[in-house]
Amino acid sequence: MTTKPFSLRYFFLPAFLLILALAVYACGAAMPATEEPSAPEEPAATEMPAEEEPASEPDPGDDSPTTFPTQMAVSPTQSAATPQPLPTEIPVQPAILETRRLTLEYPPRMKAGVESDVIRLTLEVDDLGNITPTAQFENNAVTGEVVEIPDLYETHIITAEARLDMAGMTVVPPGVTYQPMKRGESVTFYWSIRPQETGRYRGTVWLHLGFVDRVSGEESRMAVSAQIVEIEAVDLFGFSVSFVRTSGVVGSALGFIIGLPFFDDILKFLFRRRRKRKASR
Amino acid sequence: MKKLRIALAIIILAVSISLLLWGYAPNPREAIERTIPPAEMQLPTPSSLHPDLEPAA
Repeated sequence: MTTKPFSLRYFFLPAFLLILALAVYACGAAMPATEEPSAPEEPAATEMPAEEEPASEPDPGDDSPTTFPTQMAVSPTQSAATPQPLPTEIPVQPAILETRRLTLEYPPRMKAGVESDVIRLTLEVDDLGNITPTAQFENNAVTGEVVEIPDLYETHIITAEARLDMAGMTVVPPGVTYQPMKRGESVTFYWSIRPQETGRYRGTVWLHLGFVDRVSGEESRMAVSAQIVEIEAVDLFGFSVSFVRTSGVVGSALGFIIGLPFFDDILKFLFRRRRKRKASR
Repeated sequence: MKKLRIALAIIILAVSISLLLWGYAPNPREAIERTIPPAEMQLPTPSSLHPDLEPAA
């Protein structure tokens, strides 16, 4: 009976398998820890709770377990911070519960010189498109829950601000014009424009809404519309409007005077015909 | 002579009336209508002030 000598193979093989198993287990346990926000900063701490989680006995004498309670405490607070009714409890901001129609009326072509015209901007209530959200959608199904949106008119003072920017043209009134905006009431802005010379004038009609909180007095402002206006100022073959009008009046008088014999003949013809009718009777 | 005078009067009258019509004709008007839903008239929120930037790559 011969005994085999002690070989290191019997020791290294189980040791290698044990190390390999531990490495695979460690890598597998570290995977979920990378989803935590603090995983890149504390890789060692994230691995430890995963291994020690079943034991759940923090060692007061060691330094590393001090990170365990923080890690353990984070996940319950995160899960508690996202309760189920949270999506339905989104704070609803006050809003204007009416659809409005913005109408910009302007002359695309006008006479240069003495002529002036009006640009009108109206923000009126759209009676047909009054939309008030009353239901809430959740998972593509109407839950039937009434959404009460606070009325912005009750919480804020709303002011409509309009401005017409047009270089090279006389605009009255210049600068910003303010008008209070109330529920169900239209707001209209007028500008008188007068081009001094011929050419194409481009401008922008701005409309802003200003909100002033009735309680805190906090002011905010937002742009609603910026519409580009293009107006062409023309004349008649280089003649100004006043010259053309004067020429028309003078020419009409002159033509009437020159054509007086023609009118005299017409009158004589009419009188003769009338006399003939009377004579025949 | 009389016919020439009448023709001249007619021409002058026609031109003068055309000038008057052009001079006193009202300017054409154009209207642009746009519907503004309530969502565009809400209070500005901090998130609305930031544009939705997307990564370049």
